Amino acid sequence: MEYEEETVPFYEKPEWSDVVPIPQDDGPNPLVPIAYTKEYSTTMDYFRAITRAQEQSERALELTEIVIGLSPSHYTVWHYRQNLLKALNKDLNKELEWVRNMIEEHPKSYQIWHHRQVVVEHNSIQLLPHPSDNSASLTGISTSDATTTLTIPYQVLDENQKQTVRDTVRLELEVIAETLLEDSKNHHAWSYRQWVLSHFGPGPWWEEELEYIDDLLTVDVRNNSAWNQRFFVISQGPSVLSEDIVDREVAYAKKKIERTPSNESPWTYLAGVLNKAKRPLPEIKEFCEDLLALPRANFSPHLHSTLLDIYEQEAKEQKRAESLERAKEEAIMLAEKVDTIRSKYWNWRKSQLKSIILEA
Amino acid sequence: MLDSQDPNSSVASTEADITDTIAAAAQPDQWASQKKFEREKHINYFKRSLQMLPGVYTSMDTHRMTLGMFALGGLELLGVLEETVSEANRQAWIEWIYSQQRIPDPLVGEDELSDKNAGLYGFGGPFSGLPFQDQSVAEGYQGCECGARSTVYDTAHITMTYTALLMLVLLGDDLSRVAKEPILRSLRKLQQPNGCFVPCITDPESDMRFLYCAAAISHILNDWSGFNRQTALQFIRGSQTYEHGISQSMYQEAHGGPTYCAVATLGLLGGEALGDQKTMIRNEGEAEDAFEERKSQAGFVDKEGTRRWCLLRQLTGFQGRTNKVVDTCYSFWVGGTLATLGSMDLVNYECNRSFLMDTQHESFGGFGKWIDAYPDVLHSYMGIAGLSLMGEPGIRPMDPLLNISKRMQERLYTQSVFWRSS
Repeated sequence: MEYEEETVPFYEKPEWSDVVPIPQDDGPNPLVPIAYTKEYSTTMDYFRAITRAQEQSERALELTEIVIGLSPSHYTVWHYRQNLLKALNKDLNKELEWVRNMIEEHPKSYQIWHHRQVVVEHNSIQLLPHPSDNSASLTGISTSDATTTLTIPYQVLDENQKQTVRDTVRLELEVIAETLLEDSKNHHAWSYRQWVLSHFGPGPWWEEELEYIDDLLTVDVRNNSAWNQRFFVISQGPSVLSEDIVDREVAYAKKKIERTPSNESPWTYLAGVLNKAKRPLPEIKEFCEDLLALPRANFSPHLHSTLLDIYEQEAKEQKRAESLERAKEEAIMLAEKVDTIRSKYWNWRKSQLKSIILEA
Repeated sequence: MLDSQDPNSSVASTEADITDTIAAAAQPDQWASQKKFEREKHINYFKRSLQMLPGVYTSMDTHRMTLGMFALGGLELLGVLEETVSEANRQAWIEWIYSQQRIPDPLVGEDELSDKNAGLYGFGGPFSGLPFQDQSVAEGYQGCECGARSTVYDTAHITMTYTALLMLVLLGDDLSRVAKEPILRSLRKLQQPNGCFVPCITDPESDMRFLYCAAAISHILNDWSGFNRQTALQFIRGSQTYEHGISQSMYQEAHGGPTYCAVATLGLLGGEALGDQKTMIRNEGEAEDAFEERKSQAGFVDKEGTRRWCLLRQLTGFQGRTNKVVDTCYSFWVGGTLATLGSMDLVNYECNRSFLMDTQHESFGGFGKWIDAYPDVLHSYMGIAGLSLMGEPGIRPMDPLLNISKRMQERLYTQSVFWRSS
């Protein structure tokens, strides 16, 4: 960062000499004081003075950068910076460059990612025509709900505008992918990624997202964040969850399960897709029973717990003694052999089976 | 700061890895830890933290209230709060907490209170630059007045309000100087149309953490008029994922932290909020809309699924998400969820305890995030809270909903001005 390259701290420079710093008055006997460095406490003394005066200047903007570098989760400095960017009419593309570097340094700061979202949202409104007055202001409160979308749908934009949107989306997805390359489960990056996909509405980026997820799952099939994103794309994307898509996703999950049967992620995904499509879980009974023949699959707690669910459901719905017996066997298998850490839970599930009433 | 040591990569496996690692079925005698609970060291760790936190906490400066709650709350769970905190400190710290309360400027008219400045009030970080105590109003001092003398950059924060209230209870204050009406007015302003909350008027990030803080504040103040129950229930249901865990916000990945925040909120809401839509059956003669209305009062889409998701997070201790590594704090986040669901008895205590014994720091005291990680106040508190939920001897039992000892919960109900007469 720029200020680290400088040998003289900002507060010793002449352009700051007119500011009277406001010290932190913590009283005579504060609770959990922190051993601040001189750099931090002096910076904050100046920050207090500048915000109290509500100063709108280049130096105030520089100061926010310094404060953010020292304390990125500071919850009002970002708001001040957003006000300053607007008041000073700053180039937001430059701001996005700066945020990109900050993300690299503090990839787990909630505030940095949200700041990027605020700037991108504002930028997208500037770049595109909007019919109504309810455009988000740079400082306005918006929920981080992934359902916020552009006021004009992508499809009705002209070619130039479409290109602008595609470039914006591509840049954002690229910045996020950089972070995910370092930590493929970074929660903030994924959350922001969902916002980007949704905010720009239906567009070609949704199809490309499935390819990206597939790449991530090829590298690490246990990346549950990628599985969650897959569910997000098929359930919240522009395509209707048709029977064809459900079939495709069921086949996709089955393939991953066959290769790594003890991986929980594709199992929950498979059950989740069926549930979303209102298709019965026993649809995959044969698939599960066939898997039992594979030695490595036979030890998968997720295979046995899925079978327990299937047999339990069958026993309840069809009132078949055989299904009930099988369900009991699966519960015992889980409790005593393949998932002993949860034996109390599986024994409890077994006891619950007693309440199922079969045909006389 | 520990990112470079993140062992998450160790759980990665390529698709080519078809040999698949089969979780070895450990035998019970392997679960018992050889290590003992370092009670005295933990007491000293929290004592030191109260005196002075090292510079590494600087980046959490605006969340000092929360750091203080972990230290005081930790001493309370260890059963030594009163003997550790002197009477002089107790009184001084109560004053310090109240000095961070943002209260309305008496010179500001009611109209302005109800809108422009609503959302400012409650407790905040100690960075306002306002004098610690205005000598002219030292008697019955409530805090710093918002309005002409402050800016939106001095605002309160919902998490600090929640942890400040807990600390006041811990220190034996009766909450008589808490500015209840302004706080409730702020909550109304902070709740979003989707039911979730933002933490303060200048930070538009809304997620389950802040929804929980709003619920806990409403419960402590014994007044839910700042909280829209219907939209909050919708938001909580909408955040239950296909895995049946709960995410920070809709469509995100199920996670132990927000699962606790959501389920504890349902517990605090009371009534039918802990109910389960999946198993609800329409009563004979019940009209369709009456049934729908009844369903809208239930907070769970699939309660059994959520219970199972929580239990599946246990590997030794608990992980926060599917296929992530175990971490000390989830013994509380996931444990507290299970306690709220009445299912702590389904947890494997030996394994969880053994993991927690291993994340204690043998020389400093306190708990780290992982084995061999340096301790921090959050994980130290969470480690002890996780043990409390399992009835560890020498640790006070806790109320999972408010995240405070049962003794302090009782104190809230019997001694605070908001509860004692009700």
